[in-house]
Amino acid sequence: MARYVLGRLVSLLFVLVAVSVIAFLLMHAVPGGPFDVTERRLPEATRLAQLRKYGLDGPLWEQYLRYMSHAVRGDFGVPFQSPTETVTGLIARAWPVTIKIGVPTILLAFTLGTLLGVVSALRQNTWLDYAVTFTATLGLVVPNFVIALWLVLLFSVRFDWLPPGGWGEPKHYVLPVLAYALAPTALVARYTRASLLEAMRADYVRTARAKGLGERRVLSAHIVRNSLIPFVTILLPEIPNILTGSIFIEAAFRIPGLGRFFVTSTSSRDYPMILALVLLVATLWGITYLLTDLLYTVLDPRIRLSGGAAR
Amino acid sequence: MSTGSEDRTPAPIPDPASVPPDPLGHRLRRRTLLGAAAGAAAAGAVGVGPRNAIASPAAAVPAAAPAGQAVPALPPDAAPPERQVYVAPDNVSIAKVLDFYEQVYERPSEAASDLFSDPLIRLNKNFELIPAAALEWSGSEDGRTWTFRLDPNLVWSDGTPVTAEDWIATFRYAADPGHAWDFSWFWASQGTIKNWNQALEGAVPTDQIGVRQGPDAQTLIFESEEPAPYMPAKLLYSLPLSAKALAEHGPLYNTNPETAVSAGPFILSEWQRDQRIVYVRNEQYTGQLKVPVNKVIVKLAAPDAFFTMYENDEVDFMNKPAPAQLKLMQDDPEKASQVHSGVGDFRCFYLFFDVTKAPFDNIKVRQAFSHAIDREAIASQILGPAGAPAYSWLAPGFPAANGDALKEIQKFDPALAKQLLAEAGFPEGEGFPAQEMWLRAPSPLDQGVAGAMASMIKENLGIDVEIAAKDQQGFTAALNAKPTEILFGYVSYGMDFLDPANMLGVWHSGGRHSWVNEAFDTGLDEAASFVGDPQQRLTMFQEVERILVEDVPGVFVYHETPVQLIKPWLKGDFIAPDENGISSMHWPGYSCTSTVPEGLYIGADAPEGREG
Repeated sequence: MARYVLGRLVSLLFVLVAVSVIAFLLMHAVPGGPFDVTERRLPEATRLAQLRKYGLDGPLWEQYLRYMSHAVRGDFGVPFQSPTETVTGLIARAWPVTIKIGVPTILLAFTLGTLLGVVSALRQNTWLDYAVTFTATLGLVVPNFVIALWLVLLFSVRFDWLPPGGWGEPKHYVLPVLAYALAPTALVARYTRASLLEAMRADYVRTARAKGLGERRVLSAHIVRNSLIPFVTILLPEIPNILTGSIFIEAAFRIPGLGRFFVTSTSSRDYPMILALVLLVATLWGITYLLTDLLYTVLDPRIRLSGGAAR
Repeated sequence: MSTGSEDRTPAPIPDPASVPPDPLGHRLRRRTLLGAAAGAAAAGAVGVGPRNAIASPAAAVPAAAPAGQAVPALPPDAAPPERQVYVAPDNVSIAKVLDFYEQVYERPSEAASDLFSDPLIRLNKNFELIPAAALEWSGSEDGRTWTFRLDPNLVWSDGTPVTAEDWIATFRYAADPGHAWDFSWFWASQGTIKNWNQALEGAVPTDQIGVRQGPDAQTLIFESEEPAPYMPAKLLYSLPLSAKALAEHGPLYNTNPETAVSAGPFILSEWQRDQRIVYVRNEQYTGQLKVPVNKVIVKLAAPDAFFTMYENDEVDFMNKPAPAQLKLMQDDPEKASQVHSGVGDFRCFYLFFDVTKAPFDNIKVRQAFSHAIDREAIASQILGPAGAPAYSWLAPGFPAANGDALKEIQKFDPALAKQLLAEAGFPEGEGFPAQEMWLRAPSPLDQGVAGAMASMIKENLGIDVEIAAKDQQGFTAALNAKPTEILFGYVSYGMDFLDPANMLGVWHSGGRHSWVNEAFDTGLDEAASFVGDPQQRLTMFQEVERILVEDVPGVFVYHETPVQLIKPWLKGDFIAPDENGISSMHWPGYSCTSTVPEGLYIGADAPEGREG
């Protein structure tokens, strides 16, 4: 197991290098640079000085190597969007805010989604199942910024119960978490329902019942456990998605999190920030998939890990 | 040469019949609105006499330094002092630094800005140049040397006197190649500060630029490469950094409340990144502004959230609501009075061509486009109070504006448009390549106007036009590339300072566009540096603008009258109608470059909780 994990971590390093090269080349291929915002053309001397000041004056390979040589030491440079701090400082400031929204979102989505999925599966083709399915479909098809607007209209404008935006107090969490959680809740509910229904019809469940096992035991030991594998495969990667924030939710509720930087870094050609975020996301995804593979062995003893891949 | 308000020319009298009916009931009578500016321009920016007169609109010199910032008596309908808090939104993506001479385009300037020092001069709401940090000023006979006498009572919040040294340090920092200031172009052309460009290139040290001390610490001298009769107007952007703080803490000292220093009416108190910036009264301020507000809170958010914040009484003010938001306000009888339409920065929205490439190298094609756009329909159907039709570059009321005389040149005339296109070899648009109209980070309003123009071009000329919305960086890089990479686009420009040299300079060869016209360049250069009769100078600019309009490097679509939403509890002279009846927060807004801060107070009817 340890060898397997070590191998995966080493391969993750190669993935990070590849991802950084691709991202670096792509961001420099996009027309326009970080300082192309002036109403009139800058004097050539100033333009060149700007490039020098931010290390953008050499050939691309040189810029890349310079960036990565600093990055491996934890220095990701200065974000063009916020020149009074470092990229590391910015992420350290903004990411915890996003995580503070993300963690309750994950908890809510996974508990409520699982509960709804189980109820829906156990009461298949009843009004309860239809209601859950309808709500889940709604949660998946309506964008979260629209949900956010509905919530603001209802709870802030109509009832004046909660603030429409802002940050710093517990009351500021409620609407963003609800808006953000609806889609993953729906996803969890639908996959839980589908997995359970598939497991409930499996031969081994019929066999278990035929052996005279009680329904509770059948459900916990056979149905739920076996239905968790597709659940883990599909839903665990939702976690890094949520933990890196949503520009829509953060913009709608004025949350000073990391989410908006995924978009503004690109639109403002903030090269140091783009690379840092790409590396962050790639790392999170790499670790998530590693954890997913490890969880398989727990959920299904037949699965063994060795070398560089799961068998 | 004088810059005094005493030689102001009268504002042009509008012809009411020339103002189209307002279908939305909120259209501004632009010609009336902007009359003040012409007067102010003649008085200040353009009012350069042939003699070496010293007659700036001098402020009284205080006999002795006051103890600190005086708190003006509040009117009876004002909120108590502790609730004198002005709250406004700004774009979270723009808020990077706070000082003008650190970065211009990346400082929050939507709601409140430039509050840490007084510029040499400022604008009042009638666009007159009035004394600020400089009590008076004078120009040499050749218009190349300008001397400013500073208010001796100004002091930084750390107790250091404000002296010429602060401006000298600031301008040297701005010219420093290591700084790479994003507004360096401003002093690099038209009234170029002596040795400015050489300093940017590193060819001469920054202490050689033409900003120096006079005989004493309260005398500041600017020297330009060419005669610059508009220098005082241009020095609206002369907000100094503290030389001492710059040396001790570096140029970002005003991004941290612990190192912040101010000689303006406010000082930085708090900056929660991506959330809010709080300015509090600088008790040491001894300048000319008497400011009723005790605290300014700038709430940082994505612009899409501004209207919700405004609706929820979280902010007192917002700029440029989207068309749908504006309609919501106008349709609500209780809120319609909160909609104001101002003069802004005399911005002109226009179509432009790369005239060096086919098919736009043919003037008949350009003329055909200019006659195919129905500006009146755009104004009435899309713009509402946000703009007035344009047929020339300089907005009505701007110095040297000559709209009536130029109106026929680019008038809407679809038959003539078709004829010209046919003469250019494209009858009914046959054989004319489909065009892509580039837009720069377009707002919903921009997209509406661009869509309408594309339809008009298709309908009147038979030419297919596709709208291509580009982001700010991509568009700007392509626009500024030499040669330009945009064949056909739609963009705007607003003044930097109140002189035709500035607005017309956009079209000077080597500037923003590929159009080159020797007569225009020569005429503009001569008019810009002309230090004779001010009226003659205006006439020279009018001749120059005629060349521009006739050669059609651009199709002028509308002059912006930007819409503001202002809560009823924002009271004071700032909202009282100006000389021409305009009631709005005038450009440049809540800033030391304007008199708005002393004319704005919070009414007792302001709701609680806005500060949170």
